[in-house]
Amino acid sequence: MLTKLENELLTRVGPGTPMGELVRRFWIPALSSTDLPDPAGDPVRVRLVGENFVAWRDGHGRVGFFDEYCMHRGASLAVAKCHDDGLVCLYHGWKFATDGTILETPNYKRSTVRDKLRAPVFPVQEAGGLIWVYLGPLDKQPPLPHWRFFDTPEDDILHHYSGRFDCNFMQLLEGTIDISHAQILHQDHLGRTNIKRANGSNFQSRSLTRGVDAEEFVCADDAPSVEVEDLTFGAHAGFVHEATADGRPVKYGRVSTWVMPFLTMNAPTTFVFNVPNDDQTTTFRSIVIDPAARTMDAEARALANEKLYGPESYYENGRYRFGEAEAWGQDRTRMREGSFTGVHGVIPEDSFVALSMGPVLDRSHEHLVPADALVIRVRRRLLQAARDLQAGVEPQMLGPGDLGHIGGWPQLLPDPNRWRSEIVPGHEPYRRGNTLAAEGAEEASTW
Amino acid sequence: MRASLDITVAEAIDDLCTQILEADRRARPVERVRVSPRTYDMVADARRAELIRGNALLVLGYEVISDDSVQTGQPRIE
Repeated sequence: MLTKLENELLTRVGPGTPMGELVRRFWIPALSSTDLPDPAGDPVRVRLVGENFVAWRDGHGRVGFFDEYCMHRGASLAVAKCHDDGLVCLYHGWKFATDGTILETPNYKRSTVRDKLRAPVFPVQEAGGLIWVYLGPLDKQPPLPHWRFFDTPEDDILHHYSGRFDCNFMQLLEGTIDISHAQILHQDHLGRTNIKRANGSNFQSRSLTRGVDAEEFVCADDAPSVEVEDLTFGAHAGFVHEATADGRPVKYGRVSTWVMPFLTMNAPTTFVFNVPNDDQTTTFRSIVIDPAARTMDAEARALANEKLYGPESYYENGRYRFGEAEAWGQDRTRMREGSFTGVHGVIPEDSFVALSMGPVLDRSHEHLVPADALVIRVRRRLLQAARDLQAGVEPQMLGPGDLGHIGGWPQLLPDPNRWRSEIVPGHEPYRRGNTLAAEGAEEASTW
Repeated sequence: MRASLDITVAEAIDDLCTQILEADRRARPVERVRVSPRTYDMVADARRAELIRGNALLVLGYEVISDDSVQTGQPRIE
């Protein structure tokens, strides 16, 4: 639970809010590259952390990211026209280059404005099929973290998804870091029993039971032991389940990794960014690398996509289209036919639960339990970081190097106390430790 | 309006959760949690409607005790 004031601090991201200021210190995946498919194509309006922007691509393919409203008289540049060398406001013809240079001011012949002013633009980079923007102070601009999917061939990307949902980003983020709901809410899709297929192509088995050499793997334990640990760039939690592999009792470990402020990695090849468009709207961006995608035919790919995203009919212009009046997409008929949730697709299941909480959940009424430990820790870390930033302390971030070592595969654990070294050895340099581990060093978990 | 930067309850819940999980790993039973009167009041205030209905004041599934000897920021399990 949080107090109402803590909840406000956590969830409000508009200009001038402490959480908004924190989020603006990080590179934000604002768009998919495919949202700006053509050089000198149509500009796109972008809502991000409670502000409106416009993104566009010039004739050379360079991306510009501007305040939405023309610096001259405030007309929206979302209705402007892209030329090869710049974006032209339709009101008075002012033309801007991607770097903010004012190229033309047809209704003002002197050069003063062009020479002395620049349009309000923001640093932008394109990598991994995404367009990243930095909205914070220029002197605090960090390097863009280099995620594994930046270098992954397109054929090996199984999913590159984005969907917009009408709820606060924390509701979706708390869902993606919370592994303990997965085999309950998603039991239709993920299930508790995994049977190895002869061709080894079982998507379900790959995602849930990597490293398990068994014909049948069952994980019926819905109350795993949980251990949370701070990392310099976020936090991770080890979840250890009782399970059986061909009837033999085994320990099955999974790690959920949270990277400040809104990235979740439940495997080294799975990236979920919950990007706040504003306090009540979030874009869920998911990228899943799977080399098996290369060998999938169109039908298998479509099936895998539908399993994750749900049917295309769930979306309208990228927005999940079901609201309260449609029970957020739940179909009771499907439930009577055997579906657990009445919603099809893992992400729609996550999101329909998040949406059902309302636009901004009041966390003062919650009854948390220890299984929610990572949710509790992530809230604390975000609140602390927002508070620290107000006091002049900058958040710690991942460096620009190759980050292929972040995240870990779910797997069997010979020794459940060694979940860190077995599942996420790459996190070792980033461990912060905590007071308890220091105080109880002799009994603290072994690395 | 300047946002409140007081995160006492968020920190207390996290500290208690960490202690409970640690106790669980060591097979040590937990009976209740003790917090400072200030933290107790903040939690009770958030749960006022529920308390009026007669519910117990629980945090993380355990009864909460207001304890003068506990400093704010140093909640503990017992």
